[in-house]
Amino acid sequence: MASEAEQTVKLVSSDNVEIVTERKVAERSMLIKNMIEDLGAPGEEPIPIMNVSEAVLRKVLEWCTHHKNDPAPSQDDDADSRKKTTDIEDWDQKFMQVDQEMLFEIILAANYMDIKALLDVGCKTVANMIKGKSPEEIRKTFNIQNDFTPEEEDQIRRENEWAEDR
Amino acid sequence: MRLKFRIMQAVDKFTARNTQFQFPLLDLPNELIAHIIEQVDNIRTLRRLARTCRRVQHLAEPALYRSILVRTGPETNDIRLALDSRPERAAGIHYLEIPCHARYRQDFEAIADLLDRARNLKELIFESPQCNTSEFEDAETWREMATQLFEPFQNAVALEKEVDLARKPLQKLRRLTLHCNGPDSPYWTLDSGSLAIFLLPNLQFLKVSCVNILDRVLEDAKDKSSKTLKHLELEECNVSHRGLHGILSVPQDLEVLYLGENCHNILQFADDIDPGSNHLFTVNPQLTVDALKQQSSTLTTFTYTTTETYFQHRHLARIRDACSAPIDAGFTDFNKLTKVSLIGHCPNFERALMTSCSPPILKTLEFKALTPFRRELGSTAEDHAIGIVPFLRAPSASVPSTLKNIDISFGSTAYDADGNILPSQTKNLIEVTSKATRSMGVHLRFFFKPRSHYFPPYLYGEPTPVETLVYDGSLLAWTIVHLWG
Repeated sequence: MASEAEQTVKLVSSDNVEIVTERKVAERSMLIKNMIEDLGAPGEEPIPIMNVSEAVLRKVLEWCTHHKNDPAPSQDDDADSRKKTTDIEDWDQKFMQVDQEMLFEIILAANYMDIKALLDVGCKTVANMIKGKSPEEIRKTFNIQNDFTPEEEDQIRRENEWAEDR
Repeated sequence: MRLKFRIMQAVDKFTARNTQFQFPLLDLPNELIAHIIEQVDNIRTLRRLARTCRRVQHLAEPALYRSILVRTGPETNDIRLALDSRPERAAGIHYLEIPCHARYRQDFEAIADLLDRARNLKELIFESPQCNTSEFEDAETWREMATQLFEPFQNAVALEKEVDLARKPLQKLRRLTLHCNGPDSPYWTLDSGSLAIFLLPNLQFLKVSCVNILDRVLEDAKDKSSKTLKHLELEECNVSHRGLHGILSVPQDLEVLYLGENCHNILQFADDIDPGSNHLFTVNPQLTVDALKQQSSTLTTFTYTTTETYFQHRHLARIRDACSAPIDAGFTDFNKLTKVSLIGHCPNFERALMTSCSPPILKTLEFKALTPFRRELGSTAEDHAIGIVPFLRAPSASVPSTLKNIDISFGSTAYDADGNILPSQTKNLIEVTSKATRSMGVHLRFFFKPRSHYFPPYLYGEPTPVETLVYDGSLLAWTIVHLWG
């Protein structure tokens, strides 16, 4: 029997393409990790990744391969104690240089596949797109319809003026 | 002005039109949009996000309102108005810091209202306006402030029939830091009303400073208890034996206790303090240990801060006259105690802790004083070296096998003319004692604290002193050689 490190698993994308990958890589996804634990016999039964297409799945697995030896994520999910930083490590930054549609798909896939670190990197990338933009620029960037009257928008501006960076 | 605004608007629109990609943010579920907003580390950006559309406003404002700092009345009222306009904003407030400005009026009614409305508040830090000055409010002004400040706390712990449960404030508060002065005094007095701060249903961490915790607390705290309070810090407090017994009867499972007697404010202010307070271990170690024993099965970390200084307070001469006998083996049944710190000299404390039978799983001891070794002058033969090490110098000290480190800190160290921090005799003592304890499996580590103009409690904007390791007994090596000549 192969040691856990050498085991492979078969994943099936939403468009029905089979991808074989290292178990350790696939288990960056908590969804897959839990499925493997439930199935008991990894490698034989293909695992369907229902909501993720081949292109996106390959991209996600590329990230998982690079990060396969990262320490396990801590269980600290207190939103208050999160590290307030939009810094993204170099490799991830390059990895995230994709078109907006792919970025969108990666975020959805990371969420669905339960890969917290990848979800964070994706969300930070979007957060960096927002930084320094005016409300109007933000709306254009994200195709947001302004549903405030100018008076309402101005009131919100005044009401939130107290908040300052510190 | 107007033209400039127009041009800026036009530029805005132009750049917006030139943005090529349109990431369909609003096609994401709310939880993911919120997650993206959580990654925004810039308040200004959050403010702008909140103005883009209603849906994003609802998701961005919780992040914007999560952490609030207010120092003056006008600032507090700005927040209040914002909450009036959209009451759900209050639910976003998790962290509230109110270090009141000494020179600007604060609106305590508005603060009480804020505490009342912030139903998800997890941490509160409050400093009264004059707690860092010597211009204390007169009795009437102070009472007004205190009444308003403590009212939400009293409502929080009031019996259900008195206040509707759904309307109770501060039910989720986990951490509370309260720095207040008293009426015409640097100290305020804990009474049955203000005792409410200890009793909040989810409070885990409480730090208070400059409080008189006197005999009446024993009566006030009767039948009061907290299941959640794990960490209690009393800093620069005037505590009597009965007061200590009373306050330690409240938590059911205290894990961390910082028992800080008034050591610095007593030097700054001539105000009288209760003659029955402080010097707890020096005056009556038995009563002190009895009070602490209420927490003996859960306490893991204990710090005791004391002073020998009492020159301004002649009636404290009781320390010379009416002390009861030292006790031994006072902490034997503190089965979880792993770390004990003593700040200031107190032979009775070292003796109660170490003599004949010490706590069973003690790992780290810490001692801080200007001159940690008492007998710095004169020669010390190596075979007597153990006899001058803090804690180990207690008569018939028993050293538990679990003890690994004794950290010794030279407080407020001054340099001599050659840039040396300590005389060479002391350096020699450090080396000799380290060698001697190392053979017992105990490592001494020596730290120094630079001289500072600040004294505890460290308040808003004040630097907390950082200690530097200068000698590591596990390596028998100086870590900062250049400071030592």
